[in-house]
This record gives sequence, structure tokens and C-alpha cells, in this order.
Amino acid sequence: MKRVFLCILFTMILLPGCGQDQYAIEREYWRVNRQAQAVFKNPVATPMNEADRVVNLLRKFASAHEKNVLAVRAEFTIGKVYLAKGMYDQARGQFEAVSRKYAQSAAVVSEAIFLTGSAYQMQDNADAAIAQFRKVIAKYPLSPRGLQMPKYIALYYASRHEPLKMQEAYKEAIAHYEGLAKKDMKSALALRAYTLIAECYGGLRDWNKSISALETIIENFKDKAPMDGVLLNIAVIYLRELQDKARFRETLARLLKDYPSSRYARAAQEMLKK
Amino acid sequence: MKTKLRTVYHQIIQVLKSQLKLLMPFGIFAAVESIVLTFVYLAPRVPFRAVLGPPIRAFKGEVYLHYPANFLIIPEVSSFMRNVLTVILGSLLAGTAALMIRQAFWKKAVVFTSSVVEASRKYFQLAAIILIFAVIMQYAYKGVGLAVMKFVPQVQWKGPVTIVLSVLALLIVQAFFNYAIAFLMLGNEKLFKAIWSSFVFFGKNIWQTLLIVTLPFLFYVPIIILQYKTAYLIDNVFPEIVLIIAYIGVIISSLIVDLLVTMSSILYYLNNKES
Repeated sequence: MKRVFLCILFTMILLPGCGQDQYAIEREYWRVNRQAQAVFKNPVATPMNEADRVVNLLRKFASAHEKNVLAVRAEFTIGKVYLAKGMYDQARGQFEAVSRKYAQSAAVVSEAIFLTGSAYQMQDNADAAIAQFRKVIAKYPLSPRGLQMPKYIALYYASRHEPLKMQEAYKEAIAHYEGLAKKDMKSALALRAYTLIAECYGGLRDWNKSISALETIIENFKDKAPMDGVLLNIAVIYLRELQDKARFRETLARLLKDYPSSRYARAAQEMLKK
Repeated sequence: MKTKLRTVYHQIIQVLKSQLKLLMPFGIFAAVESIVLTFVYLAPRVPFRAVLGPPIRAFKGEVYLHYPANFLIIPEVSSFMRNVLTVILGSLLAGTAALMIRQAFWKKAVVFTSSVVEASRKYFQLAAIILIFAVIMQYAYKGVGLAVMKFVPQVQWKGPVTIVLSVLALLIVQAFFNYAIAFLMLGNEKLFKAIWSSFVFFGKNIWQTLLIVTLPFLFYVPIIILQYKTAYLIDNVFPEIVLIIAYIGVIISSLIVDLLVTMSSILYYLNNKES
């Protein structure tokens, strides 16, 4: 009896070690990806043959688990290894291959186009990079990357110290997000769009309009989700950007009244005491 | 005259040299705990995922059923499982160990089976003592955490301070309950009388009792430090190191800490009450 029990126990414990379930695939990916991370940590010092070896490992993983979601990540990581090593043409080729392979997935293709743009960005080819970013906005406006892109373009110009183009890009982004939000003012997309609008006005340092966008969020979504975080953001803008202490205190008091058990309540009380 | 702790530790060595059977209750607990730990580790995998997946998903989140995030919850889940096991199985084995230690103390033949049978007659009282102890420990642990959050300013070493204060609180609670099983099994007292007698005995032997619970615990301190750094170890060594540390923790806690604390408490009790 004891032997039978021990046999069953050991079989149960050893069996999962032999199987190729999702967990085993995740472990395999983690090990391959870790080697890629070593390349990202110090791309200049990594010898070319080491980068090739990591790329081969990633390719092998992607082809062995073609239908697994981690295969997509492996394919992207290959491109990123090329980017890290400054092999921009190969990187773009890889992202293009990913676009073709996963043409059905908006999230994957938009990410691939964005990374293609990033390759141009790293080569300081702004026009080509912007063209790719605009392609993401035009083709996949509602994908996670597509939603970020208008604001990203403005930030890109800011990083290039081109203030006029930056301002223009922020204005374009605000118009774009307003267009998306107007389709359904109560949708999750509208919530995301108005958050981005507030951030864009912040980028333009137009703090009153930024607050106005945040107030729109509260007005439209206070019944659906707690708005304590948004109120705290408004309060911080009043204090830091507009130096309006009366409004700052008023907003914190509103936060405490509407959300007395909020996780920000204690911080709000302490800020009010000062 | 109070018995010196040095004498008690000398007795432990002598008794273990002649009666290796005394290791059995602790060995059994370590084996069962290791098996449970293995199941916790295998929880994200087929076929265990079907049974263990839903509670982990509900209480911790889906992410902890994936590699390597599942290793992040191993210390917490294994600690919880150890508490449950201590109430269900550890209580019976502690009672058994108390009876076996008394047999060895009086130079009689140490018999595991008869001791288990005798301890099982008081199983519910044993389990109740451990349950009350575990509940108070849990509240003490949470209480210290809340007190630190309220009174200690936001500093970098807040985490380590919380751990040190929590451990101190746990050791003090353990010291209060240290002789409850001895009074129940060897003194034949009822449940609450045994707990009260343990409190009184601790009051009369404060320093010796604190040393009895603290000295063996020092062996477990490296494990606590390593478990505090779980996320760092996963990122910088390899995820499976967390499991290895957990297994070493099982061996240290069951075969060193529990063994020494139980044997020294029972022998200290016997030296003061029965000799």
C-alpha cells in the first residue's frame, strides 16, 4: 500500500516536469529572453556572434511555439536585439516580417509599424519615423499603440527641441482625441481619450484646459468609476502649476467629501493640514 | 532551583544520541510540509492547475499562475499552508513528541505508535491550543505592521524594521504558549487551564523561556532575509532559487527550530515539574 501511494505521488510530481504545457513554454521563453536582456544591458560590449546566438535562440523558440502568444514576443525581441546592435535595416526587415505574419492582429501590426518608426528615430531620420507613426494613427487608431501615437509624436518633437512642431503636434493630437471621444462620450475609449487630452494640454502648459478635460472625465464617469485619482491630479495642478492654494484646498476637500475612504484620503488630509 | 539552559541542551544531545526515534514527529511534519510545498510549486501546471489554479486566481491573481511570477507567492502560500498544517497535523505531532520526550527523560523505551494513540485522545484540545496560538500570532503580526505604518516615518528601512518587530512580537507570543502542550499532555490539565499554566510558568521563567524560543529561531533568520528578497533573487539568480530556499526553510524550521524549541521546552518543564 505504502509503495503504491509513493509511486502515485512521484508520478504526479514528475509528470508535469515532462509535459509541454503553457507553463513550460513560459519558462523556456523566460530563459531565452533573459539572454536577450543581457544584450540590451550592454549592447556595445556584446560581441556580434553573441547577439546572433541570442537571435537564433529566439527564432528557434518562435518556430517551435508558432501558435503561442509568446512567439510574437520572441519575434519582436529579435527586432529589438537588431535595434540594440544598430542593425536598423535588419530590425525593420524583422518588424515587416512580423507585420506580414500576424496581419490579422491590429495590436501586433501597429506595434511592428511603431518599432519600424523607432528604428528610423534611432537613425535620426525624423521624417521617415514620423511617417511610420502617422501610419499607425491612420490604420490602427484604436489599438493601444495607435492611441498613444499622436501624443508620442509631440513628445518626439519636444525631444528634438522643435517647439513649434511640438505645439502643432499637440494641437493635432487634441483634435484627434476629441474626435475619438465624441463617438461615444460615455465609453472607455472616451475616458482614455480625455485623459490623453488632459496630458496634451499639460504638454502645452495650458493648465486651465487640462483641468477642464479632467473635469469632463469626472462629469461623464463619476457613476462608473471612483474619480479620487482625477481629483488629486486637479489639486496638484492647482498647487504646482497655477499656485492657486484656495482651489487646491477646495479640490482636496471635494475629494475627501466624495471619497472619504479613498486611498488618497490620508495624503489629502495631510496636505490640507500644511 | 531553576534548571540551567545549558543542562537542558546537554540533555537534548544525550537523549537524541540514544533515542533517534524522537526525530520521527518532526521528520513526518517536514515530509508532509515538503509534499505540500511541491504541490504549491506545481499549482500552475497540468493537472494541478485544475484544482489549485482557481483559489490562486481568486485570492492572488491570474499572473501568479505564470512563470516566473508564481515563485513570488511561494513564501506567502507556503507559510499559510504551514500554519494550516501546524493546526491539523503539527498539533498531534507536538503532543506525540511531548509524550516521547517524557519517555526518553525517564529512560523508558520510546514508542511512537502508542504516543500517537495517546496524543490523539486529546487531539481537539491540542489543535485548539495551536489554533488559538496561530490566531493571536496572526493578529500580533498584523498589529505590528499597522503600528509601524502609523508611527514609523516613511524611511528606506521601514520594511526591515517591520520584519524585526513582527518577529519579536511572534517570539513573545510563542513564549506565552510555550508550555501549553506540556501542561496539557504531561500535566493532564484541561485546555484553558493548560494555557493559563503556560502563561504563569512563562512569568516565572521569563528569560529562560525567551532564550528557549529565540536561540533556535536564529537558525531561521537567513531564510527570512532571503524570502524578503524574493523578487531580487528571481531577477538576479534564477526563479527556482525561491523553491530551493523554501525547501531549506522547511528542513530548518521542522528539523532544527521546532525540534530544539519543543525538546528544550518539554525538558525544561520536566526538569522543573517532574524531577
